[in-house]
Formats: sequence, C-alpha cells, structure tokens
Amino acid sequence: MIRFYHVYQSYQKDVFALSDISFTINPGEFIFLTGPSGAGKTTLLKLIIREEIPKKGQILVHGQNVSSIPVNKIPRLRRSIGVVFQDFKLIRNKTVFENVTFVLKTLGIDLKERRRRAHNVLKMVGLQHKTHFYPLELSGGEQQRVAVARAIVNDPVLLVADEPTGNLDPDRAADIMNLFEKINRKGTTVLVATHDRDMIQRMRKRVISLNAGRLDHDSGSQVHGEEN
Amino acid sequence: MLQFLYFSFSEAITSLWRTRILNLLSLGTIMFAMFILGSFMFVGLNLQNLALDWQKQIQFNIFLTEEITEEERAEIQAYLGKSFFIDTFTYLSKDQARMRFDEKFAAYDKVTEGLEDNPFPASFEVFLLRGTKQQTYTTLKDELSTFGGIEEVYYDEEIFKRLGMFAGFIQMAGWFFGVIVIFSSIFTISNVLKLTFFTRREEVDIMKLVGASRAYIRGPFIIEGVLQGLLGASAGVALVYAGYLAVNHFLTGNATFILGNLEPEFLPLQWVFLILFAGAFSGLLGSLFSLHQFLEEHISYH
Repeated sequence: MIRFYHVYQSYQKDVFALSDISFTINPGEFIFLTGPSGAGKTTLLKLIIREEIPKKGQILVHGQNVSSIPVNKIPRLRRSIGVVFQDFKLIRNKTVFENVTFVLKTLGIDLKERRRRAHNVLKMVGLQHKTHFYPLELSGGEQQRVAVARAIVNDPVLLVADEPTGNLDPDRAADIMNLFEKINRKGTTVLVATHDRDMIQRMRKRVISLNAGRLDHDSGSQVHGEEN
Repeated sequence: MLQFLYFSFSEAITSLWRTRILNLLSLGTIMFAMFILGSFMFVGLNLQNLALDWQKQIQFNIFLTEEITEEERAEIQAYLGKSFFIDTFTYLSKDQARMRFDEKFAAYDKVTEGLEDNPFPASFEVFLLRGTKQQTYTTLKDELSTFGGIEEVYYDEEIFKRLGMFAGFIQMAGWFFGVIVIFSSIFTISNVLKLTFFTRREEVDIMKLVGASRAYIRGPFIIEGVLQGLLGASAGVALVYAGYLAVNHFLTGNATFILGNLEPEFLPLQWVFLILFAGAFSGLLGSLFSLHQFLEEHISYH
C-alpha cells in the first residue's frame, strides 16, 4: 500500500525535515503517525499525496512511485486517497452537499448518483440533515465530519488525516476516531497524524513515531519486517 | 467532453452569481466598450445609407453635341431605358434648357438676352437607383462615352465621394475605437478575474488537494470570462438598440429636410453577432491572460 525507502526531505540546505525514513504500511491497516510539533508528520503526509517531492528516496503508493509520477497523473492519485485536514479545508461558498460531491462532479458522475453517495456518507457521519448548509453555518466538529465525508465519498483505498481532532473537544475527537475505525473496518487503510497520546493509547493501533525528522519508533516494525 | 463543459458551465454560472458585485465591474466595462463599438457601427451604417440616399438625388447629366442625329439620340435613350441601375431619366431639349435657366436665374436674364444662338446644350437628366455603387457610375460613364453625339457625361462625383469617404471614416473610427475598447475590456476582465481568483485561491488549492485536474480547475475560469464578455456585449448591444429607438423617436418628423423619407436602420444581425463574438472573445483572452499570469503557479502541480 505505502512504502517509504530512505526518504529525505529538506527545505534548506543541510536542514532535513525528514531524514532516512523507511517503513511499510499494508492494506487495511490503521496507523497513527505521531511525534511532537515539527517532527515531520505533515511533511510525510504531503509526500504521500504528492504535495511535495522528496529530496532523496522513493515513495510507493498503490505501487506507483509518487516521486516520479507524471504531473497529469497526480489528480488521479489524489482521488484514490481520501485526505482530512486539521483546518478542514472546506470550500466556504459551497454547501455541504457541493463540498462532499465536488470530486464526483469532476469525474462526471450524474446528480442522482452523487446524491445517493452523499446521502450515504453524510448519514455515516451523522450529517444527512445538513446537506444544504454552508461550512460556516456548522460547528467545528460538524465541519470536520463533512471533511471526513468528502474524503470517503469516492471510496478511497487509503484515508490520510492530518491532526483531524486538533481543533475539536475530546467528545467530538472521539466521534471522529470512532468514524475512522468504522471506515477502517470496511477495508480502507487509515493513516492518522496526531500528537494526542491519550487517543493513541486508547485505540491500541500501530504507531509510527517521528522525532526531529527521524523515525523514532514503529510499533509494527517487527510484524511488518521493516528496518527503521 | 460534454461532462467537462457541463461542469465548467455550471461552476462558472454559480461563481458569476456568487461574485456578482465584483463581476458587475467587468460587465459594465465590456458593456461600455461594446456600446461604443456598436454606436460607431450604427452611425457609420446610417451615414452610409444617407450617402446612398443622397446619391439618388444627384443629377447625372449627359450633354449632347449640336450635331447629334435623331438615331444617335434614340440609341442613347434606348440604352438608358434598358439599364438596371437607372431609376428615371428625362430628355431636355436646347430650348427647354434655356427656358429652365431663364426661370431659375431670372435676375440674370440680360445674360441670355443678347444671344442670337442658344448656347445651352440638349441633355438627358438621369437619376440612379438608391444604393448604386460608385463603380456603376464609372461603368455607365465609360459605356456612354462609346456612343456618338455625346459632348460630356457629368455628375457631381465630388460630393458623393466625400460623403462616402466620411461614412467610411466614421466606420474606420468605429473599428479603431472598437479595438481600443476591446483591449481595455480584455485588461479589465483579466484583472477582475485575478481579483475573483484572489477570493477563490483557497478554493483552487482545495480543488487540487482533492484531486481536481488542471482542466477542471481552469475550465470554469475560462467559461466565466467568456460568459462575462458575452453578457457585457449583449448589454452593450441592448444599449445601442435603446439609442436607436431614441434616435428614431427624435428624428421622426424633425429632420425630414436632411433625411427625406429615410429612417435610421439598426445594425444588421451579422454585425450584432460580430459584437457578441468580440465580447466573448475578449472575455476568453482576458481569462487566458489572468490564468497565464497568475493562476498557473497555483494550478501547477509542481
């Protein structure tokens, strides 16, 4: 599913945001990516969705080398990955329905099918009654659930979330995590970047931990036979 | 392709509506630009019509020689009778010509009093059909020169040439200003779209992150520019039409001494389409410029 081979990333000469990162994530896994602020969690996620290109090393996602993927293939790669951001990244002048189904619209899926899929995912996140609301009319937790609905509406094989509960109170954060578990049980691989230690301990999932751009610990390294 | 067009149009229309206040600026500019262009075309067209109408009034004289025979006169008369371009013609004998001079210039009766011979030549007075081109005059003149018994073919070429040139000048000026205002429209649309983009750059970034392709991000912007141009040009044409109705209303019964029975004519349909096309085209260029200058870096996946 995802393989990192000795990946390096830097924004300034000799200052590495990521340094010699190698790991494997298998299909259907639920992984927490953790570490203090500045550890390189967001950079790592950006490399997966090809928002950035690594300075060195190879990254395979669904068997594609995203470091060398042609530019015109990037949209397709991103459509196969559901992404949830800490700041939700919802389009403010589009309704919940429009935000959730935007990608489906660019794929030419007709309105009836878009409605059906939007209804299903919004029901899953408990917002089926708010399809015509605009993001700013929703609470933070609701906005994050819309972002989750958008991320899963196109049935991605991989769901990536960057600090998805960072702006939420503990109850809403637990709701989102339960939702991710539910999605993972359906077979979607889930990778969640968070520094919420309580949450990680409670969920008892594989944890990849970063520190100052280096892979500090991988609780699943022995199981998956990967060198750190 | 159809799904792409559907997507681009629906997104562009939604965006136009949601940022309507901002869009009013570019719509207004294009409307003004196309109004100027259309007005020049309208004035030029009607001046040309007026010139053509006046041509009908211009007397086309064929002065005959003293020695002309009856047969030669009959040949000329037959030729004039058969020509498609001649509306009416009358024969004026030497005596009739002198009488007309005496009637018109009674104050100068002494000028002709002492004359034993009649110096006024016999002639044909010819009126051409409205809309007849200058080339036809020349052809007629050339053909008539082959006939015997003709002293001179005379018509007031200058006045008609000048009027024609003036109408042409007005139309040229229309095109000149038209091009200037079209460029200003392109510039405005380009800048308004940049402003629109500023308000939507976050949206574009999100579109990229969720996997919208370049074409799907650019498409709505381009269609938005084209629609702005088309709507602005339509409003401009509507203004010209309003102007035409006002001119028509004002001139009715007020300017018969100039216009006779001539009524102002609105722009032909193909000209209207040309203006609409110019609007849409400047919208297209405006959006392409703004995309090129500013959006590329945001839309690029590099």
